[in-house]
Amino acid sequence: MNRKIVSIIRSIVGYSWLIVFAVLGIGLFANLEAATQKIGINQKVKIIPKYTGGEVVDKRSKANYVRLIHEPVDNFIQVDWLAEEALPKQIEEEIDLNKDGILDLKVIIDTQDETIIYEKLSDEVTALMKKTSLIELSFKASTNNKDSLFFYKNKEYEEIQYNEGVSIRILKRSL
Amino acid sequence: MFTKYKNVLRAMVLTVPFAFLSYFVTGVVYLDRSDWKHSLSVLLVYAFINFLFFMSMLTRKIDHYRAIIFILIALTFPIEFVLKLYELRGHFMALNFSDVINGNTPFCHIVIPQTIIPLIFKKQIIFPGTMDGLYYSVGSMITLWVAVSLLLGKGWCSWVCFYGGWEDGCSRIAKKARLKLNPKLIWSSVAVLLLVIILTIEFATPIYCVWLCPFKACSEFFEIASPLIVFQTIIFSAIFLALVIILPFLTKKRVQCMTFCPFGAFQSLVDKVNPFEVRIDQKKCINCKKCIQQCPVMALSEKSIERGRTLFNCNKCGKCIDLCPVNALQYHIKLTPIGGMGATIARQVFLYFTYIIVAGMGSSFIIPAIERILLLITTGSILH
Repeated sequence: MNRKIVSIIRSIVGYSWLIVFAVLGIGLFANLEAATQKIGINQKVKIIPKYTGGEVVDKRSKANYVRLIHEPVDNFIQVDWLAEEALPKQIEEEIDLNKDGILDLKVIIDTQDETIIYEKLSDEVTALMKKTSLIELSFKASTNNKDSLFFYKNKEYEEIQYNEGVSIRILKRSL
Repeated sequence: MFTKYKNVLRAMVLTVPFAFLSYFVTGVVYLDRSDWKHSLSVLLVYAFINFLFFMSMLTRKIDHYRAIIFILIALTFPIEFVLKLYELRGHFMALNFSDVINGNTPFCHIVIPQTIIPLIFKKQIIFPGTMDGLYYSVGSMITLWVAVSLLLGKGWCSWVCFYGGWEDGCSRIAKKARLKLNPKLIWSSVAVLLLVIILTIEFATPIYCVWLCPFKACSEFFEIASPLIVFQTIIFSAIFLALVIILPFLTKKRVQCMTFCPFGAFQSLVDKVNPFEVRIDQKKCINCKKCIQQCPVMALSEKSIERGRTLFNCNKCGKCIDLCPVNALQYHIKLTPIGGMGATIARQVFLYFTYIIVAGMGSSFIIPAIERILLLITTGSILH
């Protein structure tokens, strides 16, 4: 008698387990994107900064774009120039990368010709990554073409969707 | 004669609910009649998947029809994946450094075990992907993995994995195995899993993806821009040839899945919480050992049969169930009695789940691939 009762209880648990998993599984499968948003995976989980750059520590708003400087990650600092509509043809800036009051790097970027001229202004910038120049690679990946726009469109900072952007990464001497 | 009609009727009755559900999953309900290429592709896939389901119900065979769609998904995945990425990124399979630092790398399920520990404890993904908005974003792939794991567990490896069909297909070419593998090799995938988890955390790089994954051969790989990448390319190409093509052909086993895939080993653990398993009804088993000989991942042994169970790496493909001359092997819902009506319920429910998911996967790969072929025929271009 006891064995029969145990068997019945086990069956109830087994089928209940199946039903719960079926409801959850089918619900998730049928509404993948909505479920992802609702679970909040995208807000709670982040790609490691080694790939995305560190947290933004400095934001400067210019006439029609913003400049973001990221926290150093590994041994690089990432700088982004992002515009809600279109970047100006030429961006000329002197940047203090580590907020010590001393300008570290001067860049002149032609966003349409995809060229960049850079000049080290301080000893903090010990090298600019060479590998077909990381600066140029970052630049080319971020310029005004449909592919890059697609991803920058999803890039939010303070809930603003940017339409166009360029980024550079500067190798920094570790302290 | 009457039995034959009865079986056909039974198969039709069982197919009706699936036809209804797959009507939504494959996208027939959203057909745009102005786009005849898309509409035709959807209808073809809808009809084909329902035909396979019907035949599986009629013949009561699982593995044969599963393999057809599984292999087809593996063959069509590269077509759609590579071309879609070209449309998004502007270049084909060669991933460059810009793609990496811009998060333009689609996320694959094989990354999940490598990054699971940082994901849980630090809420970080060790992968240069994008959380949302991208084709194969991290967020949607993780949700898909959770959904399929709840429904199928390690059945992912036989029904869902868009790479596994390569090995499955190669393992079916030869009539007879020319080489035998040591059954203990099934544990090597666990060793690979542990190794890649440790190294991924240590180096903050998805080690398996960068160094080992053989399926870069049919998806994407690093642009060959340095001697190191040449070396990495040689490694993954050799692994693909050896473990995905040659050894499955020689052994008639899914060698890569069984001995090397860290996701497969990880999914064996995840499978513990899935309600489905394959069990052996000891009262029926005649110890013919056909299941042990034929299992494509060596998930059965004499000891496991004595216990009435498969080994940890069973991926629920159904081959042993089809082969057993006395129907001793069956899908089973954990904690319920073995055999009887429970076995029938377990089998039907499991197959409904698998085919619904397969219909979804088919929509993602087979439909776009057919569309592109139609596009090529009609316009001369395979790109949208």
